[in-house]
Amino acid sequence: MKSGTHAPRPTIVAVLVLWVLCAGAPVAAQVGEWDGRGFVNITGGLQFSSTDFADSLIFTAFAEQGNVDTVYGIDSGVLFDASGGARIWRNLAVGVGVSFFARDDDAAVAAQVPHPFFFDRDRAVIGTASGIRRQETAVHIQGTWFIPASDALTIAVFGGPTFFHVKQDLVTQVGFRQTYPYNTATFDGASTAEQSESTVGFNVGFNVGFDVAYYFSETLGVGWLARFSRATVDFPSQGTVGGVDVGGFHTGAGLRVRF
Amino acid sequence: MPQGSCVGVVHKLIVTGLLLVSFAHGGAAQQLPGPLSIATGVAAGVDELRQWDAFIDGRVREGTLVLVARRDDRTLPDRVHESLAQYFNGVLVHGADITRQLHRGVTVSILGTYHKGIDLDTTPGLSATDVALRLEQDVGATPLVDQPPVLIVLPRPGGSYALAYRARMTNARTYFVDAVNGRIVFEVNEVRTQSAVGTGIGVLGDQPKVSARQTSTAFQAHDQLRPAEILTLDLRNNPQRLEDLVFTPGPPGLARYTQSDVASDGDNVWNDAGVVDAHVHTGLAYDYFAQQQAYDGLDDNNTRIVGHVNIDMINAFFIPPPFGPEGSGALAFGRTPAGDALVAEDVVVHEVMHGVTFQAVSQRTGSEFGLLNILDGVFGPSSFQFGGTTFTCGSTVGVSQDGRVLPVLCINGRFVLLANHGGALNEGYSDIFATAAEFFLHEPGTGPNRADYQIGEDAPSLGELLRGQPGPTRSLNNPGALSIMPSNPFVFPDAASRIIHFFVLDDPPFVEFTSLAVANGVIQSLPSNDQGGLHWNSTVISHAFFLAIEGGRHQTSGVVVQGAGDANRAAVERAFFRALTELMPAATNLPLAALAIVQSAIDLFGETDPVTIAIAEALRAVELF
Repeated sequence: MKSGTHAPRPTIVAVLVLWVLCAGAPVAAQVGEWDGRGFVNITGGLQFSSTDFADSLIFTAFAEQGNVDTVYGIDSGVLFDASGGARIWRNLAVGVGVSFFARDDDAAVAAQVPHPFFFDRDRAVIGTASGIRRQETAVHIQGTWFIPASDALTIAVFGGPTFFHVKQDLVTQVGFRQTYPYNTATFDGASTAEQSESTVGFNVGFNVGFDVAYYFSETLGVGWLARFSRATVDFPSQGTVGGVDVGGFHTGAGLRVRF
Repeated sequence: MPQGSCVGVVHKLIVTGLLLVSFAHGGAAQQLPGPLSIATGVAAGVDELRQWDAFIDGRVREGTLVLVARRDDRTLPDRVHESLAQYFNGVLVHGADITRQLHRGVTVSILGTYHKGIDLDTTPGLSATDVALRLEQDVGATPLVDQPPVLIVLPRPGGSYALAYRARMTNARTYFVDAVNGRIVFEVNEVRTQSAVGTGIGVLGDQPKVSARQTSTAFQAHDQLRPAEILTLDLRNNPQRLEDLVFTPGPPGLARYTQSDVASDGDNVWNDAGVVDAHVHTGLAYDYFAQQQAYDGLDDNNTRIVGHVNIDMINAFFIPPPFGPEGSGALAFGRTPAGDALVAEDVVVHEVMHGVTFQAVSQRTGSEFGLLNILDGVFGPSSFQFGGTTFTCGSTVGVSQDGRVLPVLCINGRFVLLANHGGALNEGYSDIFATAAEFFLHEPGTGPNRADYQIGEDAPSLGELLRGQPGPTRSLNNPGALSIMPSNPFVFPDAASRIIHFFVLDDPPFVEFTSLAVANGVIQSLPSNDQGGLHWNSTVISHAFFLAIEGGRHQTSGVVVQGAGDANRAAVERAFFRALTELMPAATNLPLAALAIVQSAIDLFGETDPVTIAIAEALRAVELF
């Protein structure tokens, strides 16, 4: 499986976060320390990544090997995020966030199907497999540095490892219609199977981002989150080549609670 | 009932019918008196067509011509083909039939044979029941179910006629019986011979896919992917199974084989080369006819095709219905004495074409035999020298196969020389479409799995069997390059004037071929007569097919043919195929076949089309048109 992404490039996001971290310290020094003990953020938003990856698998039909090349495109979709943490030192807090992203997309299928009677006379079969589901559950371990810009406005920058659990539908078989003399075949749907994979051990991903919160009371407020997370997983697909990117840039707004 | 033999050494005269048609080839040859041969089409002019049309309508009104079938053309819209059979005093005249093509009710062509001046008492001395009983005593077989012996008028050489019975029997033979005394005058063998997808090794060492069916225990050579299923039975050289399944008649559609008869393999990687090639090549033959000629299976109705391998015969053949394990005919592929299975691609297609020929002609004309073995001939000399002895007409005798001394047939003081035109046409057509299939399936070239104009070149021991040396058994591009037998001066003829004719014994009510043959002015005694030279003389029509495509200067006639070219190969094939499947009467000799082919081309492409012209030139070059 080969993957590509159209999300903001990690290096750019990382630079942005570092700038915020660096720039935040003087601000904090000017404004003061964050006096909260902990926080809870509930965010709804969009994951803007448009990840493509391809899979190629080989099958045997009519005493000959054929192959199916599938290109999966994961477009932007709704994301739900909940996070919380506690201050451990000055403006630094540690916490955990959980985000959930799911959507159904189409996959472009191109197969070479062997001829029933002759070797080396593959028929090209092209079609679209619809309802290909991608579901990502990410657990973000975050170190957060709060930068109180005013009593009401707080900027938090964060980063840390992310553990992903990904479920992905993968095309396992291509259906085709053929009639004598079988010189052509047409697409007749694709069979899929859900594959799941988690990032563990050294395969852990990362997340970086910031959150801008405006508190209209001592404890309640609203905020805007921007986060980039990324990891690479290998699905146990027959034809998997390389890894598949998961995560991406997501942003959203929601409720902010501090205590 | 076996329908002829292509590969095996044939020792017995096998004739399905007798018909003499006027046929002059120049030189010393003279026309024999005989029936009226009708061949006219749009090219002949409206007046001539109208005259023949009126002649036929008149004969229909008086009852001497009876409409047997009327069918729409398979390819041309608004065309209808009528088949008519001749009767005399209510008795069928054997080998006399006419086909008439109409376009929106207007006659386009008329082809066939009509016997004028029949003078015969049609009261038989024996009843059909008497004949059946006598045959049962003599040959130990009975007439086929629903096919009692049929009283026929049997034309004889020279324009005379005899009354006979024709009986198709359960021993896969047809007998012609003298209606007066019950003596068998001819015995007909109807065999036409030659000569879940898995993989397997073919005879040539190639590895084709094998369309098989998976059972709970094995894979069977049962192709269910093609519209006509193809089933290959492995008879394991068991002669009793061969007799029971192939040579025993049965009701159509009722399977008499068992699952254990079906060729099978445990892992779908087939290792019996005979099974592999017979099964695969039958499928490829189906592909050619279905895709190039829009003709579905042997019968154009996708009836299952059943083939047999590992049979204890030095032969390959097609046997028509009601024989075969399902009563629908069958293919069978034996081996050469060297043990090589007779399953080369062109051999298999050749046999499949025999099946197509039989079904197409019998469905259309009502002929129980498909194309009839029409005899044609010329007057020979009044006397000749052979082995230092002079043989004179009227005083020369020969010994028949059953040991009787009979006179050699003379008419008007001249020896009569005959050849089996109908058989040669049948064999020639099988070679033509075996070649056509090769070009459909392969690139041109030499060597295995390449398209060429040779027959049997991929089965070297077949050449050894038939001609005493490895290599092709027949050549369409240069027939005269091959001798018909080992070290024999006779070569395959490339023109009508080179046809191998035979002296015949006068055995009323019929004749019997001798093996004393004449070709190109040379007389010699041959080990066999090839049933009147049906394989040997087949190259005249098949060479015309070659010339129609490739062109060239004919070696014998000197006629230069501008071939239609490879780009028009399919068109030439189509004209030849349509001539057989739509136009030819059951009783067709080689010249009449040529007329049908030209008419077919005119119908398809027009008179001035280069393809039509190439075909006409080619047939003229081989002296048939």
